[in-house]
Amino acid sequence: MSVETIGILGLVCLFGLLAMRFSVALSMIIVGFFGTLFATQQKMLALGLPSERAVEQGWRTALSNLSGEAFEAASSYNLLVIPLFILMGNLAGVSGMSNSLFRAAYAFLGHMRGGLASATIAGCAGFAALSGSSLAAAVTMGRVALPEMRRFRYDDGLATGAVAAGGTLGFLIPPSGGMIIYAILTEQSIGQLFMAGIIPGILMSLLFIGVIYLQVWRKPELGPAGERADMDEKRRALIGALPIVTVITLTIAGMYTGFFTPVEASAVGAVLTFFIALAGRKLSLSKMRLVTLHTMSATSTIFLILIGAFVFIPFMSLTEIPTRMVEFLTALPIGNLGILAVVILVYIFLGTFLEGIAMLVLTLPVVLPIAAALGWDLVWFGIIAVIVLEMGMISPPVGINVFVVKSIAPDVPMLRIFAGIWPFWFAMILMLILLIVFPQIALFLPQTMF
Amino acid sequence: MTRPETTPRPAADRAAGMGFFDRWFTRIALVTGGAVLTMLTLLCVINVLIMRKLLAAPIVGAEDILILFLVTFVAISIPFGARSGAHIEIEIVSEMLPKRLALGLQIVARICGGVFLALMAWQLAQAGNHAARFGEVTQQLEISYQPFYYLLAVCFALFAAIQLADAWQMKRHGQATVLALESEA
Repeated sequence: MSVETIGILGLVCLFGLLAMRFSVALSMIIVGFFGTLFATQQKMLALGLPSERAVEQGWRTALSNLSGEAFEAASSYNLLVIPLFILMGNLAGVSGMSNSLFRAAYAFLGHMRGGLASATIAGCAGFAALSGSSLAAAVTMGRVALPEMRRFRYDDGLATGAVAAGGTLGFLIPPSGGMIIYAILTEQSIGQLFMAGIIPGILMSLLFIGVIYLQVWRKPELGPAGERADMDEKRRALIGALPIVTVITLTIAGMYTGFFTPVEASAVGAVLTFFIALAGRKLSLSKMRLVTLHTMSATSTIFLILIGAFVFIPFMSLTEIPTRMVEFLTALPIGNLGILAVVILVYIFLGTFLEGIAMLVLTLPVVLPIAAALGWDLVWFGIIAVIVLEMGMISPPVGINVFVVKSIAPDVPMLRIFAGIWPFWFAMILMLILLIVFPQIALFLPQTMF
Repeated sequence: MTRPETTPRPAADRAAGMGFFDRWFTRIALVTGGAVLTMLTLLCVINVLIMRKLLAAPIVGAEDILILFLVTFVAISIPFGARSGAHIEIEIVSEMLPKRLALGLQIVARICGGVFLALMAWQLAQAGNHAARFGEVTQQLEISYQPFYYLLAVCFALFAAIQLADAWQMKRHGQATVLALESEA
């Protein structure tokens, strides 16, 4: 049996285990382990080793891979950013900082048609810069913004669509959990990827607001104007959001100027968020307990999946499947852009039924060699991948953000929510086109950072 | 997607054995995880802001200590994540299957997962045995990784036990309960 056949069988087994509801991480670890075992044996036999020696070598490689990769993932200094940024996001979440961000955006945009939905997008963008999680952004902002929008008789589709789409910004705007995982698996700089997400994140927020504006311009009844805030209210709202904006600015500017590494920025961000929450008397012992437990829970999700990827990727390399994929795709008469289109379409398809982070770790071992062989900038491709993953978060049938919104507004039918999401989905397509035509949108900041 | 199809229930509703385990497990996780997370964050900030930027005298071996804190935090978090249903699963296929078949497959998945994780724990312990012999130490302070391999091994063994306990619960009650973090906090 050739190593390529072992690789294909491994992929079939992987999907079999996923279908049986093994966790994604465990599926990758199991397939990675047995795949390494058989592929190494095959390679040793091909080198002319006696079968007993080949079997012994296979076991030795697979077992040492299992413990070595698990320990390497758990002891990687750069991965310190994960628990620290999660901690920062959880502190921001339990202390109600999303409220302050939403109030500030509402004070300036609320009086316009569709202003509440636009304020939701702006609030999500701000909260994304604290939490790094699209789920957290959708949940916290949804709880604040949805009741307000319903109070002002916003169309259910527009209201829920804005929250679901706004939540996805958590995956693009730094600190993003998805970007950290991408950076680790592709050996790119976490700081550069964070910087690369800033301009696309801002542009995407503006595109979302543009989509809302277009909808209420065509049908004003979709998003009636709210009350106009006076100057005093605006000033108070701004002062309320100022500490949070300061944390966001300090961490991002610190990384951009090279004053902090991403790890240091995450620790400083977490401590500042803690003191802001403490000063605002928003923390209690039970909330601190909740923050700790949530941080542990989310850390375990990401680290176990990373351990899975660390065990699985060497197996994929042994099988040479990625190399064959590169040869196959480059032989197609569709050019570089055509291959990118194929990759994006496959991601969009997978995104309809796979969870974002799971999809990222499952596909990168195959997609990364293609991207590298075609000379794509891996930081730029990371932003493309993250946006496509975001699309998956709001695509039927399993868009996770849609379910989050549904849990906050259980009386709104799923079809209505999905109908409200489509305009935002097309805004994401537009963002992808912009990034392909103008890669500098993503690359300008990483190339100019210190 | 996503999280296991398990039911979050407050401790009072859970089976007595699991309730006792969960209570103590949460306490231990909270104390050790909370302490490690606090020390990790503070050490990082003190080393950067005060020692390096202000006094230009970074703490020697701070990175080593941070790495060891990280291993400890990750090790404790992994079995805790298993109890709180944090590990991502894909439900789309099993939702299309008849209920009994889907449940049967889940039980098989939990048992196989538990057995494999036990193998992983054993291998981590073996790697710990070799760590001292092969000089696996941190870069600056040369602290041996051996106890941290053992810690990871113990935590993976606990994860394996949780998988098997889940399978037992699924067999008996048709579903496994998970920790509801809000009520535990």
